[in-house]
Amino acid sequence: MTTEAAAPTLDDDGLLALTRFARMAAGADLAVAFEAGEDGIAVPLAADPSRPPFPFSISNMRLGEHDWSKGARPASQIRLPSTILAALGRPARDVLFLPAPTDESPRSGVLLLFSANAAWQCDCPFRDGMAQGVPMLGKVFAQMLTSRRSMMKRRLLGERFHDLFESVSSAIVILEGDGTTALVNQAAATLLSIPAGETPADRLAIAMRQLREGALNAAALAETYAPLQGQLDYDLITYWMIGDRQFEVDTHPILGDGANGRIWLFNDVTAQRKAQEELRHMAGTDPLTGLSNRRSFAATGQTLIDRLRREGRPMTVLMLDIDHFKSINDRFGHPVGDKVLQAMARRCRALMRDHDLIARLGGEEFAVLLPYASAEEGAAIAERLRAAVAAEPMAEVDVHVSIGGVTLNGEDAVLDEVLGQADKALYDAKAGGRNRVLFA
Amino acid sequence: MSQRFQALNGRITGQGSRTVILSHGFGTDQTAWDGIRPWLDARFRVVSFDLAGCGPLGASSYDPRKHDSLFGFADDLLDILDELGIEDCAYVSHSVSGMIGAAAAVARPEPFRQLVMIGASPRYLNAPGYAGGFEQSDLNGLHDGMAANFQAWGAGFAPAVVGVSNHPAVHEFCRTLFLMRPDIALAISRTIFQSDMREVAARLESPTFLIQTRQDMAVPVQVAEWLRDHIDGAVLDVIDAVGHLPHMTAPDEVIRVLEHRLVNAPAQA
Repeated sequence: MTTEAAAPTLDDDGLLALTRFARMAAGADLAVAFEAGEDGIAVPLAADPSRPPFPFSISNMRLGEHDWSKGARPASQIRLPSTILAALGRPARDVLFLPAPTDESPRSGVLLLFSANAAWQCDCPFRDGMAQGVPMLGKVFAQMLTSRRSMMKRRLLGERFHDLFESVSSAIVILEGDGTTALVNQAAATLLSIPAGETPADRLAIAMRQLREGALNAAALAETYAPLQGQLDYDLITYWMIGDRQFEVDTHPILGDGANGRIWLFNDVTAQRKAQEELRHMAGTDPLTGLSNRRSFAATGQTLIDRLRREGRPMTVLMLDIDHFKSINDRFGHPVGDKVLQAMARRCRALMRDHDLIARLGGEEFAVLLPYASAEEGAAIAERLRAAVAAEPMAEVDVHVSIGGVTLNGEDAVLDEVLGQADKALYDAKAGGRNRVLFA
Repeated sequence: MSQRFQALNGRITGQGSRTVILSHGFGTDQTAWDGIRPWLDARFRVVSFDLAGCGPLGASSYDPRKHDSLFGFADDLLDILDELGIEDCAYVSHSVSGMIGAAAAVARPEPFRQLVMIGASPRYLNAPGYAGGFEQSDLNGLHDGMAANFQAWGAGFAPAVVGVSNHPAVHEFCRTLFLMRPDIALAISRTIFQSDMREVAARLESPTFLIQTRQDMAVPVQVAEWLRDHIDGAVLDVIDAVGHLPHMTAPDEVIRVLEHRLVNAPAQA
């Protein structure tokens, strides 16, 4: 019915036994041990002989007005909560309070109630002596409440840790400080083919070595890890290539000290790496044709110009523009236009040398960088490009291209200006009737 | 001095040597007594308040731990008695306040000269040998509805609990119900409907007058009879009215019983 996360439950056998002992030693009819903070709301944790009463407020009880070391007080001097009296089941005659303050719950304690017509009387000859000792139990209760509290925190922490340990996608191995056992989560168990949970450290070591030695980069890894054998406090991140997967493997001593143990984290970064590579590629690539885009061309182009100038070698730059591309789009539709651009890219690419660079600058406009190509060579390549485009239809459309070119012979130049000159030549080629090559 | 009384929006009206304490039921606040209060004011000193979680100050008067049981509400009542120095009173209650008064009067019998309980129930769930009127599945459905859409739930619940169609009390019930913060309303409703106060009721020693209508969706007449049979000396008046809130829908009928039980034949102190 309730949707709240269940708080960790503790078996309060010890607290209950102590509560019962306190009641019997005091000869009381009811004992209630409760935890209460500064706000004065008491949460009963154990009661004898009844079940724990409901939470109640101690703010108006006047508990603080009395010196409880002197023994029980008449119940009329205390404002007893109705839940306590319901648990007692009879009118109360006397009350004894054992303060059990803890750091976190400073108003905690134990209420002992004596009913007006006591149901039980201890005839034991030591009763008076025992009863005098009852107030001393307050300290024992306080200790018990404190350890109960910290046990609850530990358990909560433990449950949170376990939840985290098993819910993250990382494979995690935790080696105990004494080096005998390891804690392995489910993801690590799957990766290493060993059972999850506590595993002997030697078994884990074998499994980890097998995994590492099976890596594609096993030799490099062995070289990296070898000098660390026998070292306690190293931390290191490496990459293990396991089949088609890539793992980032992070190992470090727990809390910076190998004496506390060592943690190994295996993160499968395959998808991440692939995505990064794709992203890097995409940033410089025209998505339609797969050629370099304007940005990538500009970055590489200027570098090439500078290098060839230093080497004193020639270079030819071409600007290509498909003739009447707009009317191809208009007549056959954009999907056909896109196919023409893709075919254009493929056909040009096929004629390029490895070190040549071709890019789609935008629309139907392409640029080509031909390192080491003199004016003569450049013109020949341009002509071959033009002819190849015109040779057969693309996407069942007859396509022609006009080309403007410019050749640098080791002189200082800025890419934009060079492209501008080529563009001017291209303009002249268009003006001269299209489907032709013209050099500046 | 009267911190709790003020926190619970306490009010004192009327004139008389004897004190009547009014404690309302779930979904209403002390304005539920407006129909019979003038009659009381002419004869008694009348003390009223809003239960924790209810009325305009409800959100600040309610503590989810202390008010996790009806005993927390009973302790509020005992605090009010202390703060106002009331040593002798007639306690007139509706619905859940019946068992709140029972818990308080069992804890401290002396100030409670008489208890009047309108539509009280010590346990709403059926149990072996006891017909409370509800199965756990009924209550789960009720609370799921409350949690899902408080306004819509209230609009359906109000006419059913009032039990008299087109009565202005339906509107009044909605008004005071929606004064409550929905999460607090849900928590209090759970506390009430999961409570089992039969042992406490059976220990009552104060003279107790039970008022029950002929038909009440929250409390079957068998429950009123159970209380009559298990509270020593209790008297049950089944009045000529229907619904769970006769003090709002049939105040004259309720007054007739109060006159008979509190004025004409007051119990000996």
